[in-house]
Amino acid sequence: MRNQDSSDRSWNNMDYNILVKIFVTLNFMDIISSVSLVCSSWRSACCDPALWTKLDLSTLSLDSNDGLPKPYTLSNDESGKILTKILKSALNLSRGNVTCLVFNYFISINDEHLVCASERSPNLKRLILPLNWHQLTESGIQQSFKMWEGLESLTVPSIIAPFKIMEAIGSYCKSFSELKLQSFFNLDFAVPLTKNVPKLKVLSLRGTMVHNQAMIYILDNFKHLEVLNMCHCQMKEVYQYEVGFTLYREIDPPIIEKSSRLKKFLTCQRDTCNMCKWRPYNERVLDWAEFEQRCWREDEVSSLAH
Amino acid sequence: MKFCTVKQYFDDENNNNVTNGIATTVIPLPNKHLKIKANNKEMEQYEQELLRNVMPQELTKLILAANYLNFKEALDFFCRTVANAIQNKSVDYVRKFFGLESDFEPGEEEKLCKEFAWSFEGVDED
Repeated sequence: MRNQDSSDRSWNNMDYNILVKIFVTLNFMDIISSVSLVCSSWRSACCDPALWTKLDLSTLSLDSNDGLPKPYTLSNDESGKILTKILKSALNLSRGNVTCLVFNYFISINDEHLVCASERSPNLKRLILPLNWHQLTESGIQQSFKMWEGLESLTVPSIIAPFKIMEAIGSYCKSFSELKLQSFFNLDFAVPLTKNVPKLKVLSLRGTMVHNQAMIYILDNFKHLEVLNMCHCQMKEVYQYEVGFTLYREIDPPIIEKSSRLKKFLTCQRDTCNMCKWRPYNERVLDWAEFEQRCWREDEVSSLAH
Repeated sequence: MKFCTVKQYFDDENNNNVTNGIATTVIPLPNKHLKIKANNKEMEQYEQELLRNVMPQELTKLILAANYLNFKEALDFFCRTVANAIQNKSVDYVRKFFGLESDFEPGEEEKLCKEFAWSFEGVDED
């Protein structure tokens, strides 16, 4: 080495705790692609639980060589394969210690990704799904959620309601208590939801379109509900025999009245709310994608923000 | 408090953990911290000055000194500096920077590199 000091310590046998202290501030990509490959003691430190409480794939910057601007979700084979490799590498190093997994909003996932993740994160408590999860099959969903018995919290974006996912959670995840949805919330979904996760405590529907009747139904049937977030929602009232509907912003008095028993009922001031003002009313896809992604990431309920 | 270990250091006669050069850098830090703790920007600048020309070997000693003296803020700062230095760099660069050698089994290393080959794109130039 460079000097002959009797306390000479090379970085090869640097104190484990100091290595962890350094690595904990690094992005997971740095860990899996260089730091963990340097030598065996560094690799060992890369497996420390402190580095892996949360695996946040939303920090991945998308390959700009693709020429694909957001919001188009990358569902080609190449990005799918890379995602699988990232999941395997990161989760192998994590030694099963990941408790919060955030997928990248714009990268679609299939059965392989979800199963690969579930096999390596048995202690998962919080899962945040991407915009496009529709390639998931019932079998993939069942296989994955079976591994996540301790799951407590889920964020599910996209316009289509996650029926199969909630069924699987109902079967396997007995501690489940928090749900953040960004799909269309109507009675068709609300009724089975109350049967799948009857003990739900926290529900966020921020930024979504919700049916009046569905809201009344869940307020009557979720007996353990404590927190409801209806900020930036659009209300929909469907006329009898489905002859038409109205869209409006103000929340109906019956809903407000029923919500008074909750510990927290969150709404926004429609006229002055910045988020509602920002909500795009035009057809520009990029605007919608930005609005939706913000809704996905942020939440007035702090445990549902990431 | 912070200065218990420093007192102990001066009491020890043959102390090899902290050379004098390092002590002169690390020990004044708490005072400086107190003086300008309200102003983060100033502190940042002071810290940048301090580490502008420091070599990895020096950084090793600084970290060990701060660890021995139980000086949390300095240790945090030095560790952050190291982290910044190795962010988005290749394995070879990191090894060169710290004078490290791989101690993986030859087959093991090849296997790991193959697994991560895709991720070597987009790293900074060495």
